[in-house]
Amino acid sequence: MFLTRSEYDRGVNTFSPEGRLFQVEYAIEAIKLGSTAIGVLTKEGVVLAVEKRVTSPLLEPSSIEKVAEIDEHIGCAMSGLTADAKTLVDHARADTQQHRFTYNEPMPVESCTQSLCDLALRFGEDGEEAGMSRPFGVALLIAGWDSDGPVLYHTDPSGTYVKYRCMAIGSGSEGAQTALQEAYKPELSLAEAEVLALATLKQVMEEKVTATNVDIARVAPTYHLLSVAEVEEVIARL
Amino acid sequence: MSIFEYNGSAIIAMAGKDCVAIGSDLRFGVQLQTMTTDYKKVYQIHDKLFIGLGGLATDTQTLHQRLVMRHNLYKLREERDIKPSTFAALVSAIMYEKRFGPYFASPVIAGLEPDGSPYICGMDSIGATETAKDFIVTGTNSESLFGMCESMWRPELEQEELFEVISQCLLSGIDRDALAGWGAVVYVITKDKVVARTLKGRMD
Amino acid sequence: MLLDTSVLEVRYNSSRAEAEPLGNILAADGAAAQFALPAVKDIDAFEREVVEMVKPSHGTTTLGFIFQGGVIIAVDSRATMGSYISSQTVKKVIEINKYLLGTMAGGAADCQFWQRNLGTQCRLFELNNGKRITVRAASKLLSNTMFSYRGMGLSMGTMVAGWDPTGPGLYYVDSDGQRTKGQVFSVGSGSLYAYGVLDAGYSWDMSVDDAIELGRRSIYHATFRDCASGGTVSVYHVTEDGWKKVRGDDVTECHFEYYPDPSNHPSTGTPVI
Repeated sequence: MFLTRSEYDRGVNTFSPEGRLFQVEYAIEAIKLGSTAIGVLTKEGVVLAVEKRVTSPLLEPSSIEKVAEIDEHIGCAMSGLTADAKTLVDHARADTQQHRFTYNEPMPVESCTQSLCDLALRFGEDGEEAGMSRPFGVALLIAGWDSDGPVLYHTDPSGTYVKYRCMAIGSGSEGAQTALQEAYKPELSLAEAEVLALATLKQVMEEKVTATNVDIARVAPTYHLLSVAEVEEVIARL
Repeated sequence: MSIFEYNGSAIIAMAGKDCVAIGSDLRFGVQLQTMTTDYKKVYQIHDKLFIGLGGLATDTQTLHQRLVMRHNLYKLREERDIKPSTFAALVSAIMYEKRFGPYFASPVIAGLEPDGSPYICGMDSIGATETAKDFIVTGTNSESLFGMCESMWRPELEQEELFEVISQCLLSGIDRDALAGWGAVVYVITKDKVVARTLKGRMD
Repeated sequence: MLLDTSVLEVRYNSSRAEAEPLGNILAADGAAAQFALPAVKDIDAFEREVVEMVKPSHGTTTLGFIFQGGVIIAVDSRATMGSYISSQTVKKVIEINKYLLGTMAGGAADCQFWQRNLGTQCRLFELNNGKRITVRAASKLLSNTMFSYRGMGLSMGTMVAGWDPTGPGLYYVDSDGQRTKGQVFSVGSGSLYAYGVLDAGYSWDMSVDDAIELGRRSIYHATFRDCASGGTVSVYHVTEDGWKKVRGDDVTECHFEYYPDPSNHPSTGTPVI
């Protein structure tokens, strides 16, 4: 098994005889090394909560940005190689603005997600003008609000996107998903969802939850990244 | 820009039942600049005859003076007022005199014939006449004036109705013309009187 | 953000534009990408002909000034095609975002397109840098874009006005690529008339109400004398809380408010024969 793998795991566009693309699978593995991010959908909006690994007391926590605003009505949480995510976020921002420019309306969340997944698959060895030579090593939780109401998408390096009511990515994702499955109720309020997301994050995080080592954002119906004071308020409700 | 549009104008003549009406806007401008806003482009020839002169103001003034002179000579010789149809022929002749260097003016004549029937006619700058039984328009935005008249005019309008119709046509027509407007004046001619009214219009 | 140096590149036979006829108008940084160009030998002569065909409407009066209480922007609302008034209800203030306004003089399509494009670039700046763009930077983005299309027949005379952390800002940007910072501007065919009233009535210390009235009166007088301006006067006031539309008056109503008795109006003259 290991031998077969080593034969086919070099080319990013070569299937193995078993029908697998190893580089893509390895990219998905890379995400499991990343910090945990959680998304929870409610009728009132979507909550994103991420863990920030403050590896040194000398590190400025506010410079770790793992949730990003894509447009007024779309935000995303990331896990994996966050440098790759910056490229994706830049692309999504330009795309949503282009949509607004051409159609004078906000871009539907699914279109934005689709466009990101198209980009995620634009890799290859022939090096077509300035493209990526390897798959992106990040997964995203895309929270948005459009004409169909609040919505949460999960994307991974294979370019697959799926809608979720609740999702976790990153190193603690397995434990978090189990916890979420038990605790999630569709009739959750936004405030309850914030508590659920943070409580789940707390379970899987090695460090104690503080206002500086987590970021919480919501799209309800516009993107808002919670301030330190607002995060403290959520922590107090745990 | 055509020399006919140098000063800007809008004129309508309209026939009713035993009455005619003629009106013009009040703007006098030089290209885009409005100079005065009480410049009437309709002149009285006698009790039952008016002429509106659209086009280049310097030429319409000269033309008007020549017409007054020729009418005075006519009165001295004939000892009667000129008939509108005769006057139209005179204007046409005067215009054609300048066939190869025309007055940049387009006249509109409105009056009552001796039998009391309305007479209206228009003319191009070299004297080609065009009579009508309904209305005649000229000016820097004759398309809009035509459109208004085509939809508003009815046969056998009484004098008050005629005033209402010509006023609405004139005011609405000039609202689409940048070079004419700033108020209007309308004369309604009947067998025993002439009623002149100044209309309040848009001032831009 | 990258400097738009597309003007230095060869524009002919852009294969990308042909491959994507409906392709992105924006590059990734929000600056405008290239447009497909006609396959003609002498592009300058061709563009001169095209300008005649899509003759932009030049009749307009717009003004803007900075004073103690913020920025005032006032515009008329008329559009003309030759001497025909094609609309009396044109929106000549383009709301770029909550804190930025652009005014429209020259080609309506050029103004609308490029100011919306500016809006996009400003929004991307905001997302990428986490703070609002300054009026100075926004106006520079627009003038850079204009410069890159210099000589291609664009027609635009605009004021970019707004409020940023440095205070009120007012810039004049046109399709030649000119960009000027200033305290008082008026643009358009009626601008000379507006300047007359504006300069006579302006002072830094004036109250907000007086400033709004000055903007309104200046536009009204321009619409009276300039036949390519008219319709309604719209007045916007910009403060540190963003812009607010404060007035929208029919100019004829202004006229009879200022001059209730038509016979007393100064603009009367009797032909002397």
